[in-house]
Amino acid sequence: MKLALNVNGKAASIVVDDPEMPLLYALRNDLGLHGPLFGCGLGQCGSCTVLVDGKAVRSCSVPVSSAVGRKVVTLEGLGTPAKPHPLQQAFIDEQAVQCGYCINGMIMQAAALLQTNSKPSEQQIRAALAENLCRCGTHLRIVRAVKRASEAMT
Amino acid sequence: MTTHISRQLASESRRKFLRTGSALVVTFSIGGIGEAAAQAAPPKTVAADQVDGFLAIDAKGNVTVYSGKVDLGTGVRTALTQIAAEELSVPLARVTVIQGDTLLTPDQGITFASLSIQVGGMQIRQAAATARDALLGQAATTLGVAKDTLTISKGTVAPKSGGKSVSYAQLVGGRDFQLKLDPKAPLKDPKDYTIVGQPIARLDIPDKVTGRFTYMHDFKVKGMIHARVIRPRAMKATLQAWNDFDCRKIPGYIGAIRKGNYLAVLGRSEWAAIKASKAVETTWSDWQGLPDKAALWEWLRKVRINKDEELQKIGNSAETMKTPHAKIVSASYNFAIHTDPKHLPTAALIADRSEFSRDIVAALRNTDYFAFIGEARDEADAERMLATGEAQFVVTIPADFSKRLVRGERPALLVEADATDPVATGNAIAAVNQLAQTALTRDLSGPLASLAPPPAATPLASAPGAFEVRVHARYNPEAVTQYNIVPGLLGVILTMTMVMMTGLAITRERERGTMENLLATPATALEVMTGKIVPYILIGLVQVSIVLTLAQWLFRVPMLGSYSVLYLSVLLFIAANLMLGLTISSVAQNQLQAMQMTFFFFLPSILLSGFMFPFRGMPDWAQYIGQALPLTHFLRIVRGVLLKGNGWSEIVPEAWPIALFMLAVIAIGLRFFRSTLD
Repeated sequence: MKLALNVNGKAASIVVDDPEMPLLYALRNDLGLHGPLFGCGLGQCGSCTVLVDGKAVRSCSVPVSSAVGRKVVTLEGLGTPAKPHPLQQAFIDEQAVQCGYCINGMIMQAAALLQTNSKPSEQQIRAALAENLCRCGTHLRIVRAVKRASEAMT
Repeated sequence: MTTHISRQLASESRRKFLRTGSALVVTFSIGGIGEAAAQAAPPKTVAADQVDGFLAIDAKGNVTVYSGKVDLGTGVRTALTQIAAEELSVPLARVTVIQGDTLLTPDQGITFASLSIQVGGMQIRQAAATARDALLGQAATTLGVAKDTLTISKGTVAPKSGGKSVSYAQLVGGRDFQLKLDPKAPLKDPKDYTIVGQPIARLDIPDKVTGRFTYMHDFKVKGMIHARVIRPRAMKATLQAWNDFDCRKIPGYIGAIRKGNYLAVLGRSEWAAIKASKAVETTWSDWQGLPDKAALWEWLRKVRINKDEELQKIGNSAETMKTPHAKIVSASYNFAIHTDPKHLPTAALIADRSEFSRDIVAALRNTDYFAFIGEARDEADAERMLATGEAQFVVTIPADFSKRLVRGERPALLVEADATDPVATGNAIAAVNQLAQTALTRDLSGPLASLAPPPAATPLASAPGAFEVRVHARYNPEAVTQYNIVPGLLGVILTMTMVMMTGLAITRERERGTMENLLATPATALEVMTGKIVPYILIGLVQVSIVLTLAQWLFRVPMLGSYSVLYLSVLLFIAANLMLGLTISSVAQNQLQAMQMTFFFFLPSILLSGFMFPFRGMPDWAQYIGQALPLTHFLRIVRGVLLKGNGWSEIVPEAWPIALFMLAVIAIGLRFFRSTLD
């Protein structure tokens, strides 16, 4: 089965056996995008988060077919090491990464937040990231990074 | 290209260079070992006692560090880069670290126990110090000055007083050191440090925040296939049986590998392997070695202490407590483990992984009626759990549940109940119906409210219920009590007639004095027992046929299972009861005693087997007694075969306790029969 996707602003066509396959595997294995990561596979940790039509979605828990006709943006689509998105730059500036496994989710969830609320308070940032799990312990730096990005973006 | 990948490419090109190019390079030996056999084009050494194992300086003066310790997310890449740059006095940007490439990096042991810096890092530091010292010596010769008059800055050696200098690139660039690593090489004085101890920005972060970092899971090799390991369902469980019949329907499924208790399924795609891991059927042994939850803390406190370690001694608490103003703070820290024996075993089949699903399960648990015993792997597994009685309820949350919930489409949640006994499940079902109003109030007002589309967001939470609960009372949807009672009667009648008839048999012989005749025959105790039993078995089977006919004609009880399964279980049950009857008669002195003993067995059978009261509603002690009675298990078999259509595999767990009961009774009977002979 052939599916036409729009990922990071580009049309991408993939062939899948099963339209119910979670979007995550299409992104990682068919399109080679390693920004979204498999964490729990249950939609509970957030490390697989991508934007679908601007909304943060747990790509491990939504079928790839549901992304057809929508705009998917992954961490790679936000910016590059040479030209990072303000959020990515803020995470570098705050050194808000330890192992980095959760960081995809933190940044993507924050990107969705900043789209609807360009000046979030610390409480609002904490609430938005409450369902993204990190076990290294960079939480405070992550919150600071999101704050810094929101300031840089205005 | 990204930094990380370009590093890999660097290692790749270096590897190629070392393989093919080194024959062209005239070997220059800085350590004075002499010209090596360069013609042999030796691969880069990975020896941990050679400087070349850890370090290389190319023609441009760039340093490559080879580390056997890998970065598991701790940031050691940055730290190792700092260590090498510091010891060699080169700028950080000119040092690249290659980690864990076994063709290039020395074996520094496993990456664990916080040893990457304190052991692995020190080896690299010593390699760099050895190299630094050798480079200083070489520079002294080249410049024609004393070694101790030289200083190194940014990879260039120059006299402290100034003058002609020489760079690392000029001294060793692109060639091997051919030096033994000297653990005693003079180390740089920490007070001269300019890199170590500085807040250096992590080298891996730019890649990590832009999705360019290569994690272990991101490696792809040519022709790679995927696998998933099938985990046991309990600690120390052993794999008893498995089949992959359903996996074979999955496109891209390759096969399974089994080695002892290890089972893995293979697929051409990751998703095929994941689907196969859900479709493969396994039977694991049950392991009951965990401590009793109710007495967990007692158990933990009784565990033998292997080592009593005193980490710090700041005083004697016993003495301190005697002082008049001692402030005593006492607390006991335990892990909270939820336990309530009254909970009904419930399995979940959750196709929708979301906060909603989690909260619904939590809300069900909070009703106190449902104890989640685990997840069903698929519908077939859920069906099996209901059929065997492993679960009394199965809660199914469909795949599109949260999607439809946030769209305001009021999706349905399915609760299937084993309603064979309508009395046992009635209250629980009533509690389920309350659920829709209460379960998700928190989710739909909190941060998740924004997940719902704007027009539906507000009315959603205040709606009469964001979702619907559908209850299927399985096996007995109309809650007809006779469906439960009539099959039960089959067991009750058999228990009464079989035990009593045989119970009187031998006592009667003893009373009439015909026992001597039996004693005179050469027949053994077992043979006499068999002779007594066979006619009654036939009578029992006739009884069963009559009851079954009446059940279907008169009471319209369904018969979903097979007669062969039913009759074979009946046979086992009859045999067990007859054995008990015979044993009673061997023990009893006269017919009156035998009658009393029969009732002593019969009454608990009726009261505690689940015939009269719902089994799971009884107190624990009564359930324990009930479990020992064959009628308890026979009732489950008969109800299962008639109402659930159970087959062999589902009845085995109930059949073996009956068989065990029979063996125990035979053992007792034989002993007493012998003693009566004496």
